[in-house]
Amino acid sequence: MSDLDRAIEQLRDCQTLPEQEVRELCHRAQELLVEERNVQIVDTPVTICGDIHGQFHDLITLFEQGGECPDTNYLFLGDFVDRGFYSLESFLLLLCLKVRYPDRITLIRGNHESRQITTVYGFYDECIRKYGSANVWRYCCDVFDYLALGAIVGGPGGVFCVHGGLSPSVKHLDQIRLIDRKQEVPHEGAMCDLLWSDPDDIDGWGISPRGAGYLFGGDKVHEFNHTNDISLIARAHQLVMEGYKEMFEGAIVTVWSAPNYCYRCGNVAAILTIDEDLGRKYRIFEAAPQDAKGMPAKKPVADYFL
Amino acid sequence: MSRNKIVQDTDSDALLSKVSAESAGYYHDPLLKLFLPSNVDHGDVHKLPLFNRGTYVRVMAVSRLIDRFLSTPGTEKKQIISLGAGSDTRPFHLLPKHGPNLVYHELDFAVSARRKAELVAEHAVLHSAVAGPVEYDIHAPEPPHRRRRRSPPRLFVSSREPPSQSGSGPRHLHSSGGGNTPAEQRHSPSPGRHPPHGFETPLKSPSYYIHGVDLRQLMTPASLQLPGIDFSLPTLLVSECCLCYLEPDASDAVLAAFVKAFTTTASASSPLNQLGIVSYEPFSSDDQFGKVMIHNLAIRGISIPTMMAFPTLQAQVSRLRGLGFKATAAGDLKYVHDAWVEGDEMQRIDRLEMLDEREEFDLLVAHYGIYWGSTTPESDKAGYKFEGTFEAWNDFPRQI
Repeated sequence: MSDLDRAIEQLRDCQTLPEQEVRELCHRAQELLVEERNVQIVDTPVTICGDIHGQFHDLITLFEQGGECPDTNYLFLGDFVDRGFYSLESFLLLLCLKVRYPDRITLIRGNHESRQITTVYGFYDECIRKYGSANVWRYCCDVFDYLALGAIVGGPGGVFCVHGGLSPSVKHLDQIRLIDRKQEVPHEGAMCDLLWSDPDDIDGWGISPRGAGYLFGGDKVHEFNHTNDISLIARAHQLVMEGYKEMFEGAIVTVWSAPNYCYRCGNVAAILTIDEDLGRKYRIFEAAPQDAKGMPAKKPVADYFL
Repeated sequence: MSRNKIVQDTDSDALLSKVSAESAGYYHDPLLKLFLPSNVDHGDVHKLPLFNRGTYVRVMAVSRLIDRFLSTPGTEKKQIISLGAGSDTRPFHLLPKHGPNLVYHELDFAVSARRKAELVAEHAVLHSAVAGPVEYDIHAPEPPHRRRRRSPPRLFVSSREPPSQSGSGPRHLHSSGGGNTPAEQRHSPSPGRHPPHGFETPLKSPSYYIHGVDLRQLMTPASLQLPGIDFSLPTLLVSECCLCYLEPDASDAVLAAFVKAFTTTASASSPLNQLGIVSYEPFSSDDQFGKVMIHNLAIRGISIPTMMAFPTLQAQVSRLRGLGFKATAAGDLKYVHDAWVEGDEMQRIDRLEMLDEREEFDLLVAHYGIYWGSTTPESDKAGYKFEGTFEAWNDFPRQI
């Protein structure tokens, strides 16, 4: 059994790796990811997954539902970390799988794969808590900078995958290919928009209430899909109580893969499989019981306004 | 942990949330940090942006409703009765502003009431906000071997003003099984019986009272005869996530007692008194979020029976109308956030923190309601218009 297989086993049990191993893993991942394009080309069939947010036990459920990697080809739309209690274990497991089976799993960057956001939303604190220093957080952030910004599934007429959505600066996919992505997520511009924007029932572009990215209407989606010869935009980024939500006559879909988000929201999760004929199959799953599978699980205490 | 203790601890939740939102710049309240335990540094309290924003909306909404009640011209003197006041800092902001025209009562568990009175005695900035003379009656109920860290003054009479007529010597009000001592009777401005239950008033001044009493003891008009409560004044009842911890029957009885005590006390000058209420509490919506919330709170031992009994804004509004708050309006915190926060103010808070968790925020705050109602008969049944002292409340956008 290789070191990598042993690490995967260990992480599957929700146990972290020693700091030195994380460093090596992140280094190997960077070497691999630097070769990837801004918009990765991915073959069908592939199973597309939305936000995970450190909900490790639910990630294990996701693999049970969708099939284990490498048997199933996976594409994760980002937001692996923050909010949940096991960002580290979740991200490292995905990263180990990426290094072990590079052609069977694609990881693209979400807006939470950022130094600035992870210091507010939990991943930084989790690393400090688990290692006593910020080293592991730094190694992971360096990997974030190398993650692809999007993917095209199934060639012409296929599916464009991105974490957030469209950008007024990006009419053509080639404009994404020109971005120098190896940096912290900027506060504005095409790279920021791809990771932050949301579809909305408006015409054209609107100001995002999130403070970054844009709102974009159905007209912009149809325009983009037509220009770039794609049939669907698959994105994540927004909580959907039903796990997934298609908009604009099925031209865009939001896929959300963190059930009972933040141990509070009561939503179900979904994954989307795109088959060889570009057919869509959604699979819905619920949150794993916290004490299941003999894995360490502290009782989450969700905050309320009392 | 006892149920009472668990409910008392919810005040710490509220306090930490308020401190965090204050630190993030949503509002200015330098008094909050005085209420933090000594081992907590206010600079270390950080909650997520969605929590800070939600706390801001809640604090802002309740404060605005109180402010409009107090600033409505008409009767000179007004009264606030705050249930489960906990570490609320409002009296120390409002009392200096409204001077002799405001009488402010805070009711809470005896242990919480004493703790607050101790803090007022300890901090000049709090003490000086209360117009004198101030009487403290702070005593430790603990057995003698558990000595307190600090020993606050048992009695302090401000030297700034001569003792008023209502001021009298130190007394221990806690031990009253029946509570009908002549001294207590002398203290009540209202004639009639005294509450047939145990209570204490660890802080007493002409304009500010802290009462230690279990709300479940306040289910009859007679039981509301606490020192200083004046049933002839236009009065606003405030329940910020407080009555919701009682069983619905019990909180109904408490509200009914207040309505009866205030609206049946007629005098020549004020033939029909007005009682208003501002209430804030969560509701379940009968949806998945509500179910998970009930489950998660149960893990902490917290039960909010009204969440299920009145699962929607409308159910809660109908309930309040049925209890005699004939003009009642409501909005959930999501509505209040969208409808009450003006353009400039919204821009200001948008700049404070990036709110990434927008959908979660909308979902979370859609499960908390702000209710404002008054017993004044409505002049427009369809619109449930507010009248008299509460007339200014008609300016607030309402969801219901």
